[in-house]
Amino acid sequence: MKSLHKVLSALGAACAVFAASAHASADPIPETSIWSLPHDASAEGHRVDWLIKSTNVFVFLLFVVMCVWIGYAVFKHNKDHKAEYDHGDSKHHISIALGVSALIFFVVDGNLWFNSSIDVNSVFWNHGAADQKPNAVRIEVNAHQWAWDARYAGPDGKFNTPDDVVTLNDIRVPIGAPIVLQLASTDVIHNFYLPNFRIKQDAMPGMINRMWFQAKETGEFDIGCSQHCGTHHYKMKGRLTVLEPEAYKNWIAELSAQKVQAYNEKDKGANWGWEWKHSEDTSAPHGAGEPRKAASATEAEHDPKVLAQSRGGA
Amino acid sequence: MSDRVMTKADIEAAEHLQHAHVEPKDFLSRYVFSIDHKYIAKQFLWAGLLFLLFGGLLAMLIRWQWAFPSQPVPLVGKALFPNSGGAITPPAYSTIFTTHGLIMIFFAITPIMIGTFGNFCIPLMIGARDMAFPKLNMYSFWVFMVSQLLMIASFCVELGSAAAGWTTYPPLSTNVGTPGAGQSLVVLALFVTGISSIMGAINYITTVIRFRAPGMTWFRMPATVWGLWLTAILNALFVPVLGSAGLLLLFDRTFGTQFFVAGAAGGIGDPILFQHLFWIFGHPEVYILILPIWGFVIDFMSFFARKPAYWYKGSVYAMISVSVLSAVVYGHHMFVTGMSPLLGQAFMLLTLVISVPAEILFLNWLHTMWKGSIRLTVPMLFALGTVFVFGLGGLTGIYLATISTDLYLHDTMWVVGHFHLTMASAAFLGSFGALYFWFPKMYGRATNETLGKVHFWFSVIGVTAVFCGQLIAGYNGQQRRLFDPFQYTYIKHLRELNKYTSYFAFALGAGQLAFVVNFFHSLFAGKKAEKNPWDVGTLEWTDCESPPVYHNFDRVPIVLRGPHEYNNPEVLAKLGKDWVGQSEQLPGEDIGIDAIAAE
Amino acid sequence: MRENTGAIGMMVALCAWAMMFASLLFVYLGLRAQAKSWPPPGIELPLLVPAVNTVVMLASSVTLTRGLERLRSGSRLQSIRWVVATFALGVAFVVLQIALWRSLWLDGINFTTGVVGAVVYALTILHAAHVLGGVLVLGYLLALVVRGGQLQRRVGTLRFCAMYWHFVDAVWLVMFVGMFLI
Ligand code: HEA
Ligand code: HEA
Ligand code: CUA
Ligand SMILES: [Cu+2]
Repeated sequence: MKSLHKVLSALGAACAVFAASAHASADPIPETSIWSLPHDASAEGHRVDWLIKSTNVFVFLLFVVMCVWIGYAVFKHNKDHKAEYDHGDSKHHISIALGVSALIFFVVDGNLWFNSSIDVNSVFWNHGAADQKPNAVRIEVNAHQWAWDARYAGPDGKFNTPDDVVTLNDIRVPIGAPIVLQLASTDVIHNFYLPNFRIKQDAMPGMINRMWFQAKETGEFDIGCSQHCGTHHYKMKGRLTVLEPEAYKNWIAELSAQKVQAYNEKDKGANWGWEWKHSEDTSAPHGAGEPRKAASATEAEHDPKVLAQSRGGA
Repeated sequence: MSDRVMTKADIEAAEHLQHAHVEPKDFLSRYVFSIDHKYIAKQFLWAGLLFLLFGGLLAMLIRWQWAFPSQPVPLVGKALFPNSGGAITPPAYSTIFTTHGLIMIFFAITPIMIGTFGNFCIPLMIGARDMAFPKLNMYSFWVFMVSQLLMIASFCVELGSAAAGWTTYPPLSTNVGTPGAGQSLVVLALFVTGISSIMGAINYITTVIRFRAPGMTWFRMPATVWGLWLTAILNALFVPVLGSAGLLLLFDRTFGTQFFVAGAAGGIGDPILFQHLFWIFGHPEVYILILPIWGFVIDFMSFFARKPAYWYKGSVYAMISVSVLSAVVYGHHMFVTGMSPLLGQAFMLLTLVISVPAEILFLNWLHTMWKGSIRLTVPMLFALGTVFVFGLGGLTGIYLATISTDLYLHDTMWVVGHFHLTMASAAFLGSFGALYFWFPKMYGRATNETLGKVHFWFSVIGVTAVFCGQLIAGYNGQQRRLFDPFQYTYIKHLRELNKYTSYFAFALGAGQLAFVVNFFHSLFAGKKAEKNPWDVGTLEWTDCESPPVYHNFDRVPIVLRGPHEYNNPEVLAKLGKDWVGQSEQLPGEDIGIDAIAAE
Repeated sequence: MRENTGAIGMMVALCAWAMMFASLLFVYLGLRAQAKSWPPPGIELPLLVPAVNTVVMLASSVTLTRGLERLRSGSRLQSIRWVVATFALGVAFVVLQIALWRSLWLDGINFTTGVVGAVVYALTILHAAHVLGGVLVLGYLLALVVRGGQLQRRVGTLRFCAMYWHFVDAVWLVMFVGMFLI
């Protein structure tokens, strides 16, 4: 028994060191290491990283305790050891078992639940706050097999106007501003995934989902599809470019000017999109219900489902 | 020690309730349409092992593709993928992982763990002569056969088998995403296999309620029976939910209804409703796949540490609470579908609460070992391996239960690693442990110990390495279900990792040969098994021959104590051995009935 | 004793069935909750036939209960009459359902007519199939009698049949109220 305690305290110390080093290493470990999370380029990603790493410590500890326990028992309490006759159901035993479980629960799961609740409510799923920031950049993303269409409102700030900027698999955003996305899908379920920003969200046919993030550094990052969407799911890759605000503004202005020139009202394939939905109305359900086969042109522009049809034809 | 006083009438009632069947003489009702639970168990075992091999080979194809993307598969490639010169193609890849998942869960692990051991153990361990409804039991197997045939047929049609992932999310699983008869056949196969599971569940539940031998109180049942019984309840309640989801999906596919179609096809249904149904079933399903294993482990720990199971009632309560909780946590699979924060938090909390009963189970296992007298037999090794990998699998689950970390980890290889460590490792090793344990009773022959140990070490090292490899890939953000993961720049550096993971997977697969050799050799040329080779006290070992006679027990046993009486000082003093049978009368013990002695 | 074992098995089976129908209704409620109006404009769901069918269904439960009572108390002939009545009511229900589907179809509502079509056809067809199953079992019992068998020896079967029948009846009530009435 004594030796077990010694081993345990040694392990505890080792874990503490491990924990400290995990948190001290602020500068990104090079991407070639398989032992790290991908480089974190997001203003809020550290919340996820912190939760993952602190849980690593607890989990590591529990796992080691478990292994040492099993190992010690197997080697020391082997067939030469005389077994103790003990049903383990005395009050004393039960309270220890319940106490230890409660302790693990409150510390490990408590940490996760408490911090995650804060993160989710105040940051990751608090789309309203991000959307209301004056410098928020709004982008509509329409997923389809197997590419990402993105639509920016353009200089007039309104969606579905000739000056809209539309791109394919190429999303550019300014650094330091909240980027608010509305996601929909034309065909099957896709999932907009930014590994370097620790966030993902489903793009559903017939429904508009929201997500937001904010970049803390410039550069190019992968956009992945994180929901099996058919044969070429593995190739449904986009590129996210984070620019300085100035460069971003120039880029939008230039593209917008081109778009206005090339605008063709009849090009249904290019004129997908919807009226930007604000907090109140996006919480509405997916809008199923009545069949709306023959929608008018104006309706078509605002309804993600009808959008879907026109794309499907294209 | 007997806390219930029995009357003679009780015992007569039991004999009457379970009148012995006469063993049939003709070939068909003996070897094909048998109604004997022990024989049906063996039928399920064979069916399950063959599909385990099938699913395992599909896994090898997945690992080949990730180690050597788009290179021709050696040996079988030319035959399987003639159009691409032997290399796996993207559509073939979708079919491979989809059917791998479905086959492993529904056609390999379920029949082995529940079909085989549910059938074999429940009646024998509670002292019953057969299941409550032997005919229904037979139908259950043959319905299962039909579903296996449907599954096989799906590979033979144009466009191949299912390709929408084992989760079968619409609209991808409707004609929009996967046209062709294969996907429909697979959904139908799932429906049919569900019917078989429910038939089995009706039998297990009723048998345990009605056919326990006199004196077999609920808390004298072996933990194995508890695990299988709770699993049966979850099966009976939640498989029908998958059934209706499957039915409506089939309606969408064949009659053009639009329950789950939205988007391009102009549908006005709701794909998320399918996800709700799928996970209302799917989450209990994952506990369906682990509860029997927990039962085995509780029993084996006690049997082979030669100690009573530590806080046995606590373990049973833990299993019951997990079963109950399993019904209300399913939303953790849908955190990224656009769930409201309040609902998300509720699901997060409920999911995390499951770790409390899980910890109690772990502590009880660890305490049972502690100060024991551990015998490292093959079943015990597998049970220890199960505890080890389930620890890893369970602990990785709490990262997924948490919304903000799941936003990163969802649908990455972390999830895949998590569920392989729980299902493909814990349920896999646990089932093999059970097979090595009950093989002598099933077939009357002993298995080879050395080969068993070789199989164990290959398996435990294999699954740990392969599935930790998956965890690491997921930690780096690698998505699942990627034909070629290296399209993405942020995981380019994982090539080597994936390659080594694959090597371990091939070793794991090769190591299973030790089992195959052992299995066939023992079947035909194994040593004759003793009646009770493990010196344990449950009824199938103390009151039955190896293998048991057709009606199991000549006389329905009278149960006097719980299943875990090891190194009981009183027994040691009186009988001079460290174990005592559940139905074994100690000299001078009052068993509460008078007439028995006279018989 | 044996009969009790069967009753427990039957209860478990009915719990499973209940979960299946509950899931179907869950889908229906989910779709209906999202609809802007129900039924959608331009579509009218009939009320008369389903209402008549509700009466038919309820009546059949009563007749089957009677049949079981009489069988238990030993009035063989009367019990056969009640079972025949139940059988007829079951057949009537299915026939009326077919008439309902036909009239809907003629009104231009088919499988693909949005959610309404899907729900009305899929759910009622699945339910009617269950009624048909019950009818077949009753038919089998009656055929035994016609061929000179003893209904007396089938009390157990008839009892399980009745449990099932009441269950299917209850499902119809929920469907009627949930789909056609409100
Ligand atoms: C047998 C199968 C099985 C089991 C038992 C579990 C157990 C658990 N699972 Fe898992 N899970 C799956 C099979 C299983 N899972 C599958 C198949 C999927 C994915 C399906 C798909 O998408 O394809 C999945 C996916 C999955 C998700 C969704 C992830 C996502 O898609 O984003 C989540 C999220 O919460 C989750 C959580 C959990 C939790 C909290 C447990 C808990 O029950 C775990 C409880 C255990 C512990 C908490 C560990 C106990 C404690 C110790 C080891 C310490 C002991 C030491 C001492 C006491 C000293 N699982
Ligand atoms: C219980 C279920 C189970 C089991 C046992 C396994 C076992 C294995 N799985 Fe599987 N897997 C799933 C369930 C399971 N898996 C599921 C649900 C998915 C998700 C699918 C989806 O995304 O839709 C998945 C997906 C999946 C992937 C990810 C695919 C992707 O996302 O693209 C990978 C990749 O490595 C993988 C690998 C393996 C490996 C190497 C094994 C190895 O452990 C296999 C080793 C076994 C053998 C080699 C068989 C040996 C044979 C015998 C012992 C029988 C002997 C026969 C006789 C005596 C007749 N699996
Ligand atoms: Cu789109 Cu995967
Ligand atoms: Cu789950």
